[in-house]
Amino acid sequence: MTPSARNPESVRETFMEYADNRDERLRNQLVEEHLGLAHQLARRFTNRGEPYEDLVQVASIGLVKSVERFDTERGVEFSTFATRTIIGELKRHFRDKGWAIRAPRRIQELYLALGPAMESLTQQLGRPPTVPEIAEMVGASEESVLEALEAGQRYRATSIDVPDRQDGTLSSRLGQVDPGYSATDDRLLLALSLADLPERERTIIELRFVEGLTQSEIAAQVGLSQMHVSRLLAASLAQLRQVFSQSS
Amino acid sequence: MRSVSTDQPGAGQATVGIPHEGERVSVDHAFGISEHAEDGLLRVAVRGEVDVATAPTLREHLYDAVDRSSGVVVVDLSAVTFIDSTALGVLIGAQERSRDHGTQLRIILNEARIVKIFEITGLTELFSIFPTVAEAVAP
Amino acid sequence: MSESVELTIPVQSDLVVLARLTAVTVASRAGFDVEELENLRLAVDELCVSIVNGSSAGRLNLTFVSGDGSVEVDCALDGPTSPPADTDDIYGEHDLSVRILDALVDEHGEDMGDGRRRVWLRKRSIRHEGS
Repeated sequence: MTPSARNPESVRETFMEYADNRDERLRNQLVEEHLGLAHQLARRFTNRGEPYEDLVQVASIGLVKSVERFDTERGVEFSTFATRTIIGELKRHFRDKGWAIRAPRRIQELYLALGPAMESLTQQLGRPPTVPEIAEMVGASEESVLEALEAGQRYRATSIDVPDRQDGTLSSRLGQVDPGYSATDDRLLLALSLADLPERERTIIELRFVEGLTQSEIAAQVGLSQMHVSRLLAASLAQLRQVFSQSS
Repeated sequence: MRSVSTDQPGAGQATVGIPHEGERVSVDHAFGISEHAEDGLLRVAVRGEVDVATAPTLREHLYDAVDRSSGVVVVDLSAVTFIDSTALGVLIGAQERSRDHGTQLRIILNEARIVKIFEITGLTELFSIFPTVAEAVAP
Repeated sequence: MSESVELTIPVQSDLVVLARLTAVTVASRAGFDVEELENLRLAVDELCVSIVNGSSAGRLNLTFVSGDGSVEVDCALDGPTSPPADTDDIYGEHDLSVRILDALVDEHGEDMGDGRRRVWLRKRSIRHEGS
């Protein structure tokens, strides 16, 4: 069964109904409907060293948490609330994972001291601490603390010169267009609609989303320019999107 | 054979009793964990609701079981009536911990609604999930 | 205390760290706590990455202004700009960018002032009393 794309009012009503009866089935439905967002955010923060698969799990659980905690009275849109919550979960995941960046030893040691210091200060103060408060507790300069916080960030958003910022699964990409689709429907429709594409376009889509090649690599393989591959990809995806939205 | 039990009042607190005339029998939503060592495997059996209130207890027991085990830990969720995101987080944490310890986690789950949330969040790809104890312990 | 800091960097991924560090330093001096700093850091990163949008030429001009417990970060791209045509953004990167900024800061926007692409954000610290 393919849930059709719902308007925000209808989604809001479901949230209110869920707030009322806390029916798991509604929760599951709401989660499924917004999975595209979780996948988008996971892809967005995919970094060298942190595989997309792990992040997607963290983001998905973050989404479940968002649905469970969303308060319709608060006047915030769900997607904003969920984005905040999911980013928070992703941040926590990265924090637990350790270092990707080489940093001077003193910064690494300082960073290790920051975690416990921030935790104990947060408990003491009943709120997150400020940098001066942390600096005083660990006995370092404010500048060093800021530097250590920066060096410890593994969740850096996709860097500027990564040639293909647009990676991730095809269904999550198409899911952005219509987050109402469930994953099994995606695969079925995808198989059907791929068959309608000319062979060259089909090859390019497979190389991109199944093999995970970059546009340049695909270009080298099929003997076209990267610009050409880019245009063909865009056109094919637009076509697939058409097929998806027509079948809802 | 070692057996450890923890009983805690969970969010939905109806308890089973011997039904009197006219009294309805309710499902026991009270949270509980017990541990069983069987056939060289550790089986952690959970029942009731696993949510914000009870997930920390689950984490404690699971992590402890993972640390002590030298092979497989079976997480028996077949009597779980409800699961939320904190519970899912605990399971993920336990999975990571078991990876570090060289232990294997096997989950028993057959309640459709709970399997559903595992499917939606992609956890069916991460975990080895079995519908019954028999299948989980089969060689 | 009100402060204004300016920074100009070439469009290079390993220099965006300077934008992030400057932002959190200014915001920390304005009283932001570590959670707010982390969110600001992410938002500034998002700002830089989105305005550049895949090209690697030109320079980024950033201004960081603090005052009254809030911080405003402005980022303008100086150089050969091709503002993304709508058809290029089939992946919804722009929408995601907006969603991320919505979640992390209080206000944000973009425009083409003086023919340059410009993006900005404003974030208030809850810690600050007064307007």
